[in-house]
Amino acid sequence: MSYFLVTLLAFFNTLINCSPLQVLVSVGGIFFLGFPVMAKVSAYTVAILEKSDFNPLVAMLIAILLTIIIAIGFYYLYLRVSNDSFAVIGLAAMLAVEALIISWDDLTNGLLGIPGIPRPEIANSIPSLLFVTILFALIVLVFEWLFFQTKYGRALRAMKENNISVEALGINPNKIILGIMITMAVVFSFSTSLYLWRVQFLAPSFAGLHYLILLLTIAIMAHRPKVTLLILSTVFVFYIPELLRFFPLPSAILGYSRLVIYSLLLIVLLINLSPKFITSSRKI
Amino acid sequence: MELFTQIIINSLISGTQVLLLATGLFLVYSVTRIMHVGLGAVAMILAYIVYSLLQTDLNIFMLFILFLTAALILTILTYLLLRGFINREQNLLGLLMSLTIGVFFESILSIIFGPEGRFINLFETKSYNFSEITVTNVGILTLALGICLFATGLFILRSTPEGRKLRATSSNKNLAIVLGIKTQKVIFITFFLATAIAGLVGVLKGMYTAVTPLAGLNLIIMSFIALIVGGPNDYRGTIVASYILVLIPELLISLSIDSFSLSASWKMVFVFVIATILLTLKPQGLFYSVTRNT
Repeated sequence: MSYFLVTLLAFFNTLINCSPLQVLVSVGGIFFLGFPVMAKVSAYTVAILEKSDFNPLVAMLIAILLTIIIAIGFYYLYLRVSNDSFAVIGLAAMLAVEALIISWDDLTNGLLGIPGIPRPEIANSIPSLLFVTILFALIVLVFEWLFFQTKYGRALRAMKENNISVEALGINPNKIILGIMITMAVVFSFSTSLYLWRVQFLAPSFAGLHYLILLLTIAIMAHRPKVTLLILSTVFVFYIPELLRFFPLPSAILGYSRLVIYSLLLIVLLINLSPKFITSSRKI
Repeated sequence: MELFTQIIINSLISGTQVLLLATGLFLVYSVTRIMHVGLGAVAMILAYIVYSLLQTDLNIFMLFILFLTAALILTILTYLLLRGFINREQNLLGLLMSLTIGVFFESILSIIFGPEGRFINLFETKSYNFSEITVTNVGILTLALGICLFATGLFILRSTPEGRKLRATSSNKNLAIVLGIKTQKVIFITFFLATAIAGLVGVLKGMYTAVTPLAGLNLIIMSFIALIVGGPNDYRGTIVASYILVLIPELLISLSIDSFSLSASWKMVFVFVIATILLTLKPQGLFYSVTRNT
């Protein structure tokens, strides 16, 4: 029962994270690969503040503010560099933050990570945490669905094909991107807090390559602006590696085996979906 | 002064590794407009192949033949997976595909070899002392190979028909096709050259420090940053950026005072900060200048 609840929690957590990513990457066609930075920074902010006796909710609010600043920083970079440079700078930022976390061990406890992160009162057990997570997932999905119905949602889809026509309609495409990035920062901060309260331990490897590939695979699979497609993609991609439990694999290679599955899946998806997939084009 | 010179020499050696890999990236980018970030993982695969072959009693000639065969197989594999994206000019999706291929290769390597570092003992490492400065034979080999490759590369690009075909494909692919140049063949050869250079970098890294399955990502990101900081269409910028990005972090770490002493793991943080500053100041590349039509 406990395994089932924990898996369900992890599933909803993944679904929450994938929602803004589907909007930005799949619908907007903007390959922002720096999202693990947001997750890492917000997770470490919450963990460090909670260990310094801050109220968990206050810690989460501070993490949200810090992550919004990072989102604005990425937006600034997006305006300065080309699309492919922006994609790889995101990756570089992920490696840089990981290096910073490992190096600055006075603050982050280095390679040992941060154990014993306390839970807030509203989510002090797995069932109550599950309730909060499902509630937040519903809010995020409804918000995403509503966004797709608005003129901004339609403008985001149009941006991929013709940025100028969107501007001609009186909509600033860059403001939409900024809005999505800030929303992404808020969503990621909240979901990483939920993750921390579930696991109560933060390792420096959190939100690494595995996380990047998992979320990207789901976002690419959910390539149309449909919330149902996002849910189905998350179910499919999230539960496939659970099959590995039936094989007696050593724990040391289990993580890499999952990564092999995700990357193979992403390769197949990219080959099959790429003729229909349009990425944004713009001048800098 | 000796410490400073030693840092410069070490940075020249590491910078040459970064530059060699950036050259592979530059070549592929110039003919396909795709950032082939999977080259880092390709470098590690070839390094591990050489490491495994060294466990057997093969002579150096056979080792070289098998290295080239492995590079050719990897080229065919990556080229086939990226060909659709090249033809449809889907640069961003091509980048994502290349990254995914890299992650796939690195995961396979991690499963087979485990996460620990491996040294490639192609020959016995010796150190040479010049007053207070120490240089290893692997370091000298890296510098010598770097210079040889640049000289050969420049000669091929400027003075041979194959080089002219490559430059034509890079400059205007459609016009090159009209002129009868088999651009797909040129692209394939460029992929092979980039793969072989990447493999060489992997082997040099394994001889100089050690290789781990995930080291390719760090290496390729450094090379990629050098490429975009220098300007993706300007090779001079890539050369300068490769050495700046290695030298400044190395100086900051080595010359940090006792109470603020920094470990080597800070390197990537400094690289990112320097890259962000340079990209903010010179987003089009180090040597980019605005021109106008009169």
